[in-house]
Amino acid sequence: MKLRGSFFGKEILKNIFKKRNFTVEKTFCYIAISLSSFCALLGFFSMAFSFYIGDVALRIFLLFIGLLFCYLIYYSFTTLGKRKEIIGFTIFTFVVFILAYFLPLLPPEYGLQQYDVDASVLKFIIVSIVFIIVGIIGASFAMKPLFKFTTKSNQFSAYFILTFSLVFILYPLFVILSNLIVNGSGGITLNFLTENVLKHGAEGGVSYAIVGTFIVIIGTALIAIPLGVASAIYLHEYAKSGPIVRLIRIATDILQGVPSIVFGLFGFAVFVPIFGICILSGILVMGFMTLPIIIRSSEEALMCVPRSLREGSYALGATKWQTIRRVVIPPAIPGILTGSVLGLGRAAGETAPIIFTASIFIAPPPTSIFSPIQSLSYHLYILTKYIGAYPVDQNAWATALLLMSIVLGMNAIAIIIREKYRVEF
Amino acid sequence: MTTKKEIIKTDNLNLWYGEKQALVDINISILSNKITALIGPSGCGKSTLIRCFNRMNDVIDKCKIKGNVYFHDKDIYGPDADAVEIRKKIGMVFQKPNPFPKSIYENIAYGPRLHGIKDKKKLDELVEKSIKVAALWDEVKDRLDESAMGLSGGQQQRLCIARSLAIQPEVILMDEPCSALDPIATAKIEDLMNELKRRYTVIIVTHNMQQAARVSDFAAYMYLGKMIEYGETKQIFENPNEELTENYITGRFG
Repeated sequence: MKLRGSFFGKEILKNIFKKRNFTVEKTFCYIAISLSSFCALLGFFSMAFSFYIGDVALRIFLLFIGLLFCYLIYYSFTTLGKRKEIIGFTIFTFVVFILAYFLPLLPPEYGLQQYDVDASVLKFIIVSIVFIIVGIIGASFAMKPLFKFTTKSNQFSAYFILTFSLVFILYPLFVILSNLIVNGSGGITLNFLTENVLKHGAEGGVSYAIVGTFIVIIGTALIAIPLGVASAIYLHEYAKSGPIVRLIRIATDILQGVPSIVFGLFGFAVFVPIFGICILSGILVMGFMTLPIIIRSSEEALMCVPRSLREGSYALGATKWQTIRRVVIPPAIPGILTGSVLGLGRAAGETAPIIFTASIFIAPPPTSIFSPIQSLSYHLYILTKYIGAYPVDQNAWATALLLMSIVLGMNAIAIIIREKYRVEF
Repeated sequence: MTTKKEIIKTDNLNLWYGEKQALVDINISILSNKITALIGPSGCGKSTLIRCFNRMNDVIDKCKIKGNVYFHDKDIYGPDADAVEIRKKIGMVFQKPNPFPKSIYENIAYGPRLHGIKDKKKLDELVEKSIKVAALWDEVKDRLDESAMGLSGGQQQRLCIARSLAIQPEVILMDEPCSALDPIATAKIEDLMNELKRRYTVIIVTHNMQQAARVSDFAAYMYLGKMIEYGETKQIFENPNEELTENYITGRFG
């Protein structure tokens, strides 16, 4: 025998939702899901922008969620007749009520004043994390009565949790970008883009640094792309697999793992004594740093060209080089370019390799590849060191935003190349 | 038969992939302007043998060959033989259609261009002729500039046949050309083979016994890397000399 649930005003609500096949129970499930999702999002935002919603709001919010779940437990128990399944619900609701009582009682201070940090820093972090967890669990729980505890409800809960993990991945990017845009966009003016450095970077702009960054990117491309693609073709197409090739592969992987500051030091020790601190030294170091990325991605691209295509070409009487040039390389070009642009994007943002080899803070316009240059990443590095000593904050944020935009722009180009010119086999 | 002329002949051909012997003392002589079918269970070495005829096994590492293969009485594994030259004379069609990710026109023109034909008019003619012989012209004549990847599987396979015809070979090797195709496309390709045999010698590897019986003039049954029996298709299918052949053909094994 099933007990039918009833509550005040149910008939009125029923009439409202009748036409759209809505029931009161479903509506409550939807409210619980949206409220929980909102709770999780609130957690994300409060962490991103370092705010605390306040003791009273927090209590009301959690209590409301708890009460909603009390109703869902009642509904599941009576109407749906689920006894075992609601244990989780009960525990969850209980925890929510406890949190609603105890969270505001957390002391806002954790003895961080000595570091001159916002004293409530830990409190808002704890509250944000709790909100995210409560929100995700709550929303996935509230799905269950909506689908009457069938396997479909598990499906939706899983889907929901997976979606939120995606949000979690995007979260750091979102925080960095939003901070950069909020703090930096005010500083990006026409003067900033067209003037040279003035007063230790507190005034003026980064025009020379922009030019320098692009010179480094282009120079690195000129060195690393031909060399990298050629090595990849040799490694993948010509070299017979054996201990030597394996050794070369391992060497490339290790080269990829070398810290960029070590590359910088290497350039300082090897190239600077010969060429001086100049563009050439910088792009040589950057080129070596980018090389393994380009070799790896080009090899991947070549690997994607199926063997049957090569055989088809050989069977028509093509030589090895003809086959590589006309059949293997054309479909691999999008992949090679994507990898190259990504590698160059990394080079554009790197500071360490050019600190000792190519960049100085205030440089005259370069006249040859033996002149030193300014570059955005090095400029940002120096400005960051000047913070506190000179009023450079605005320009530092603007430089960071500009550098980020250049790197993101290059990544976007890579994605466009990959999507637009992708070859299907 | 008066026009009996050997075009490909093997002499005690042995082949190893690493330690594993894939072909054992193969002796076969293939007659020109005939369709020769190689049949046998999977892994018996049919494809390996057919790939010996145009030296496609060269591409595979750890492949070792002993013995001789003669094409027009010239050893194709001899010291002065050039694999690239041989593949110009002996074309190949593979199991899975493998058109290049280029336009239909470029697919066909690829081979002739490799061999130095640059004249646009001559290329156009050659492309049209090859596609017509492959019975694909009516289906693709309006979209020669579109990607070959957009064709159906059967059309792609006929394109691959046309592609190998464009280099004007003498022999066409077909390695299970219909195994990835539906019966209608298969029928089209079988008709095509009968056309081809007027001008070319065709060697086909097939799993499909009916197909071998339908299209071929000669058939060879292979088992575990050995050539068990080779003769006229009619004789092989109706009155095989070897018990192994009979068992396979009648379906008692395999």
